[in-house]
Amino acid sequence: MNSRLKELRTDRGWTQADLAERARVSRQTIIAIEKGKFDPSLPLAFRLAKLFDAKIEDVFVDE
Amino acid sequence: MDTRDGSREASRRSAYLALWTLAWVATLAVARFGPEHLWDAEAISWVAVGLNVAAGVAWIVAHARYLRGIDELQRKIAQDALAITLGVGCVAAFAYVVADKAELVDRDATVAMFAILLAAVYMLAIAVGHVRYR
Repeated sequence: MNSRLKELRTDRGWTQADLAERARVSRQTIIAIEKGKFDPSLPLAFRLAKLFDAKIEDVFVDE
Repeated sequence: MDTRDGSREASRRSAYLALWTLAWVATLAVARFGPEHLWDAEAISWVAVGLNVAAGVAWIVAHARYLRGIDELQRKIAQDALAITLGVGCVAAFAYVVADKAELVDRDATVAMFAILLAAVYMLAIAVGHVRYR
């Protein structure tokens, strides 16, 4: 699954550590999601989308 | 719960897991070597085995709590490592039993060797998991 996480994060000037803290996950999880190596669960995907005031389909895109 | 509290809670659960792992290994060693070197009474051996089982149950509970406390990627890495460890443990144990029955192996395997194999495979699988999702 592709995501716009990195783009949305950098737009807000957040580091990976900032986003990890806000989403209550490890920085490694954010890195893996941004690189497309790990697909988050639905609750985490919703949490991330909410942090960017976006719809889940605007953050995560099915390949 | 804020992030700092969550991190403190995760550290506490990791510490409990390490503590109960050590307790289980220590009671296993006492139960295994105690009858040879420390005591003669069979009753004490039963107590040592009972303590080992109790420490083992506490270790399982601590591990379950640890898994519930980590985030979903770390849980996936840990669960993949546990699956690989279980697989290697089953394959190695049954291969040894079959080879032993066929009188292909000269040396007797000990429970310590099996525990060391499982611990090594688990740690290696955890390390590979962390590299894989880096």
